[in-house]
Amino acid sequence: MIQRRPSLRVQVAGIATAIVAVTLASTGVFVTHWMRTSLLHDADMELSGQVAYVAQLTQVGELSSILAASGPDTGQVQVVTARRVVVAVSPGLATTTRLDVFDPPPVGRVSARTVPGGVVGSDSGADYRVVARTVSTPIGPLTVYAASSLHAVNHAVRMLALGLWVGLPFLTLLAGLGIWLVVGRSLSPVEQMRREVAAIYRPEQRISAGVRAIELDRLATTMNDLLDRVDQAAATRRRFLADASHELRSPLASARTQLEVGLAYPAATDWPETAREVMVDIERLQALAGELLDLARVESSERALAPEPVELHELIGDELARYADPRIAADLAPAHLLADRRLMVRLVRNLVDNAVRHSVSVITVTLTSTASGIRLRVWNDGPAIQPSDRERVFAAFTRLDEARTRDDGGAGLGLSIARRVCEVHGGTLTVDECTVGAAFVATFPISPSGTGVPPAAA
Amino acid sequence: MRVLVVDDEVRLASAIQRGLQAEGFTVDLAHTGTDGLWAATEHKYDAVVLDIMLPGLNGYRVCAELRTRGIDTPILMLTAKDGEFDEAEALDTGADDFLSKPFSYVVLVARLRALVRRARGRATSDLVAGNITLQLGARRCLLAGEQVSLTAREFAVLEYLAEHAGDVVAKRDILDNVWDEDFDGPDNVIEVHVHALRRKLGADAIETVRGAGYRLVDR
Repeated sequence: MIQRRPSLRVQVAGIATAIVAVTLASTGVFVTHWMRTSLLHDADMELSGQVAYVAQLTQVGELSSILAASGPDTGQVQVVTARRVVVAVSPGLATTTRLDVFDPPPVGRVSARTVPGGVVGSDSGADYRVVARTVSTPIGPLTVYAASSLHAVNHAVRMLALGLWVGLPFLTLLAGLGIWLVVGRSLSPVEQMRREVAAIYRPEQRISAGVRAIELDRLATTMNDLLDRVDQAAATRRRFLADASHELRSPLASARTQLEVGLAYPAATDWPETAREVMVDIERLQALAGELLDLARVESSERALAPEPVELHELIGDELARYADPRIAADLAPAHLLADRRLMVRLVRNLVDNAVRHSVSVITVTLTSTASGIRLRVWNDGPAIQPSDRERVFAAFTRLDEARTRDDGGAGLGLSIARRVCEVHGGTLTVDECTVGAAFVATFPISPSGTGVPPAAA
Repeated sequence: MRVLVVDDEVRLASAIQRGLQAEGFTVDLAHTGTDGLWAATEHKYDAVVLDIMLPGLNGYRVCAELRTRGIDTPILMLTAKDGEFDEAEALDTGADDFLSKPFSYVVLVARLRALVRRARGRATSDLVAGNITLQLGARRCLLAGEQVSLTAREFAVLEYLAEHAGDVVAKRDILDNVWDEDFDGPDNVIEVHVHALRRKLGADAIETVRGAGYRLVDR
């Protein structure tokens, strides 16, 4: 089952929105925390001021049991001895209220705590901040406690948090929408390109290039190149089919017409002669069928090559013996390779057949083996191959001396097949430069393992 | 009727030649485009059978060149290639008809006759001169409704005379149209055939115009 992934637009917008949301949320948490800390610090500073003032009063012995409302606002202050006896309170503080809700700090030190309001006798529900400072006096150490409600701090922090809770999702939503739109806009050329590709149905149609962002334009160019290659492959196939059909129909037409004419005028027909002539056409058809089959075999053997150790010099020697042609001279050095024996035989026969067909009086077959590879050269003293024809001879159904009658040639696939045989063995087949006659050279690489077959094919 | 067959398939070309000769046609062969172009320019043919895949000069170019030179001989193109484009291109370059290989020989002959007939502006394949009727399709000669048996060569000579019934036809013209270009026998072969025709059709059917040639009496 194909797992469908969400659209790119959804993915990108989703991820980006999530990042925005996380960023905004952590910023919100940080800002809230910072604000609370900073407001607490302000409260502490204020309480410390009061504590310091009262502590100063104790030092100079001006402490009264009810702290005067002079000097800075004393707020809620309580002075407690080491034995926890209250010696002074600020006015307005209930006598039952105790501010010494935690142990006094050592002499000369200040400590601060946040406590629930109930602890210091408040019923407003708000937390309280309590700051304490211990000083030594002639009557022993005294601790000054000062407290104030955190109601305002809490309120401010709550308001900020509320603002953030409402604002941040809204901001996130806005950002997500923006990203969704932008991603959609930047992806719309892709969809437009897809539609263009989908609308292609004629071989010469292409995608418009040079109108999009550079990345998409490169994709368009690459697609057009691909279409070109597909087109070329199709054209080659078509040409091959047309040529093959021509090669099939010509001998058929010839045989049919001869027989028809013979049947139309039986008395005027030399039947043995007609039979001989029709035989020539049948042989041509047979040769073509054989060569087409060979070509199909080589093409399919690319996938199913059957390499085995081959003594190439022996194989060639055996093949040349079949010809029993005194014009053929051979110089064969020992050469071993891993190859498909049947295909090697086909290669040698096609090259020698071709040489025999064009030779005047001499054909030489030379096999050399060096560290770099194996080289098979088949030369004949027939007409030279023009430089412009050196690639063309390997195309299917090419015959160079076209003025010649077709009957004594092969079907025109021999050299194509030979070249494919070399290629599937990792080698090459080319026309060799030579001053007199024509020569074909097949080369096979020798890999360290002594094989003529590239690892991929083997 | 004189026909030129241009095809590099030697055996196919000679089979067509044998068949057409048996039908009473005069057939010349060319195996390359260049030879075909030369022959078609040099001689007057009633029709040309032209292969497309030819060495030297391909069939399209031969056809186009002939039309450029103002030669309007009917051309029947042959091709072993596949596809309607070949057919369309053949007709567009000036060919009159088209056959794909392999073709039926019977159809080839019928189409050739139709081409020649159209070129001569006639609707049927019968030639009538006086009381002589030549059924070209069936290769029959009727004299006042009675069938007269003629040899292929006699029929060809009579056909040529009938095409120009009432006009004087030179011996040379008969020779060019009834015998192929390889013939180099004596001119009096025509006299032999005319003599035979007179014997079968009546002595006054063909008049001799001294110093000019023969005339088929058209009454």
